[in-house]
Amino acid sequence: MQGASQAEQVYKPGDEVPESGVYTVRHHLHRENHSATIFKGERFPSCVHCGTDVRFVLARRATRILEDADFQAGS
Amino acid sequence: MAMNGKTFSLKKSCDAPAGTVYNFPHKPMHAQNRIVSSLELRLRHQRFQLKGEGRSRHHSPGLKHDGRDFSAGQPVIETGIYEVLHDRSHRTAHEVVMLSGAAFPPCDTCADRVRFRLVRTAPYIFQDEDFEEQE
Repeated sequence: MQGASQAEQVYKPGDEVPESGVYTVRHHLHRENHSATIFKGERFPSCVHCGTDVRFVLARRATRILEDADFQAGS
Repeated sequence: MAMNGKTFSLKKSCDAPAGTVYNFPHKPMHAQNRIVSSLELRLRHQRFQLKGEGRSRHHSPGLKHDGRDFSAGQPVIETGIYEVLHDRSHRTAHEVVMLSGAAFPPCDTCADRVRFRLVRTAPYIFQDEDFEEQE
């Protein structure tokens, strides 16, 4: 996945988070979309209410500061 | 008398000849829709703010550009994306994700002269009541 097409990728619970950043969380019926910060390497979780029907779309990617080359001394 | 004067002018305006076309001041429909949606957004924002903190499902999302900069060592108040502004342009600005509760770190190159500016808040997924912490 490259560039804009990656932002359109829809992830489901259990998928590995490919990039750290803010994701739009789409629930199934019980709740409106909302934003959440999720970190690379984690697994997208299932929702307590809509289970595995919840979906995640990357809204804005950003590196976790601990992964940045300029911030290694303090980590 | 003033009262009579108003009555008179009102009456007089009704005496206009038939076929006169009046143009009443009004706002176009799209402007009215903008006002309605602006009110809805404001109400929704207030509703979010009234809810409690912690494992919250009602977070006030969105972009933040209040211009407030944070220095190395200060605590991160809100989880989200921050723009990192380095000193003397040893590096162009870039964005990082920060978790609330941590402290803004010094840069290995420009030390505590680095600054952080909040771009967008979004709670950590596992701080949301709809998502349980995974082991």
